[in-house]
Amino acid sequence: MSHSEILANIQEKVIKGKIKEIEQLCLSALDEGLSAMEILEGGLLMAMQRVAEAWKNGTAFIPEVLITARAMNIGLAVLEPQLAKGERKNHGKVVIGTVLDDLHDIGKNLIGLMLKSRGFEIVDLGVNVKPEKFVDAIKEHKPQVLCMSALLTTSMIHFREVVSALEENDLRENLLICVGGAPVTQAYAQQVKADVYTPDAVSLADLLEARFA
Amino acid sequence: MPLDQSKFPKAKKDLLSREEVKAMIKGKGFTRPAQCVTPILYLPSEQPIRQKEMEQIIEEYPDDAVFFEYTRPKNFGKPGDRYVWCDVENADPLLHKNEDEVGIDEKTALEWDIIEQISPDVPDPYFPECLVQDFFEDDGRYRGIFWTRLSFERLWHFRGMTDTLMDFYLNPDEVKALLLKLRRIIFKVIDRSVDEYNFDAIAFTDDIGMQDRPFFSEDIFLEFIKPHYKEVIDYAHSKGMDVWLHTCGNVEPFIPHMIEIGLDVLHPIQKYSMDEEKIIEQYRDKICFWAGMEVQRILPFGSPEDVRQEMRFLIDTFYLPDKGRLVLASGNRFRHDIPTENIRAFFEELYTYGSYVAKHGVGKHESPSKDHTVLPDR
Repeated sequence: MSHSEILANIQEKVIKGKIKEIEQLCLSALDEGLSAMEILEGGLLMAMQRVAEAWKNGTAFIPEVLITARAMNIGLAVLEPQLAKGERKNHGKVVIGTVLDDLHDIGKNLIGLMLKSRGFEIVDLGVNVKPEKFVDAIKEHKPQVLCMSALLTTSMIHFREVVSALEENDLRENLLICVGGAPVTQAYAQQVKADVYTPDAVSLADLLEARFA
Repeated sequence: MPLDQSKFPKAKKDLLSREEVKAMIKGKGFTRPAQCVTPILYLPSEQPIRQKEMEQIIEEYPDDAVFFEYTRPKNFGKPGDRYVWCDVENADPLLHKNEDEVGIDEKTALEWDIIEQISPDVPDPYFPECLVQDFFEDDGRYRGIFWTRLSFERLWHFRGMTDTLMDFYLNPDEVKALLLKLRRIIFKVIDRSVDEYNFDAIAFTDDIGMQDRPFFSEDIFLEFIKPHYKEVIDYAHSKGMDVWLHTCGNVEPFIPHMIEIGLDVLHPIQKYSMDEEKIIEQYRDKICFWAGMEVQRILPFGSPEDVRQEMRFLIDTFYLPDKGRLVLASGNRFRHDIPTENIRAFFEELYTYGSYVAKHGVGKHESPSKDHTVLPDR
């Protein structure tokens, strides 16, 4: 099998969710003389890019995105020790959480998985997160980005409280605040003084990667 | 049992009878659209502050179709309870979740080896104390049983949502086995609903749509969900029951399949997720829509006039003159951010404009979302 065939095979297996084969495929590719960076970029990241494209076209759904992100993280665990120091850039730190009075977390989990696989460090505060917990986390972790999720009209009002609390604590500057969730709109994001709104987690992962990569 | 209007002394409307609602569902209706709101509400838990006010509105505008829920036994979750979904010691996600941590899934999801240890006969819908909640005798209205979590919702109740979505790829056989177990339970619920209560319908919840697309592809729907739905619908029909389904979000690719397997009533055709006018154009008179007014913008943040206008738009869009095919409700719960005057406007306009179109035909009202964006002021 040529190197390009090996990489194409990894891509196919990732996209089809053959998670159990990913670890072995990455090890074999290393044995065949491919570098960890080549496998990462030509195999795993390319698979993720293809799924993101399919998402944009409306032909991929959450299972495919989750499977790809999971496969990517399994592959990374194999490849990371082989990557030269500093070869894979850390794009920055992202704090994520579902706001107070809300337990919905699939969007939050998705953004966490996707950003992790794309080279961001993730601090997941979980669900039903109080504004003061967001503030404490920003103080402690000093992230570049804060992503907040809400599925309910009764919980999305807490976006504004978090933004105000961050302003009061002088933590707002140099922090990119992203909001999302089913009832949230671009207009509402502006109203609560967030910086970024995207209609879904995949678009947000793309946007942050383009901004910080 | 014929409908006796005098049983509803505070009602500001003439109710529809069982036969009229059945005709409305089957496309043989000559009455106004039916109202069926309360199954969506969960009044006691959602409305503690204004429960009396809400109850008064419901007394003035009673539903034309009523649904009862199964209740949990008194010993729910305690030794001897045969109604639990998981009887493996210390593993029931309903009883052992800790939602304030990283997330629900991480704390509640069960591994497949635990699921395989669950006794085959729990939960038992024949458990003596599992009776219908707040039961009242037949008053001539259309009546049904409301049973939550038809397929996907129950899968993720066991496995967590993240794992469930990947299980379709990673553990397909286990998913199908769990759905089979679930069907056996649902069949018992249907049997009991018919044999003991003579209900007309069973309504399910199963959120399989997200805001902009379904959770999963049509291929996954065809492999896992459609066969499950079909068996449930066939069984309910064999017992003479209609099947109603609530699913949030965009489920547009699945609607033709739901029609093909005989689903009778679909709720809510969520605004901003699907284009109501396109849906009715494609599936006119093939299914009864249980149209739900959206709760993301207009009901919580619009004016009472916005609510009335949206109700007129929904009725003009979905009501088929001389056929019906329309039941009306909210799209989801009336949470506390929905002003009471909007809720009152909702019920009043549902009846008033519904009665008007039954006599004079539909108009061409547009949704208020067409000419202005309704935004929260907080």
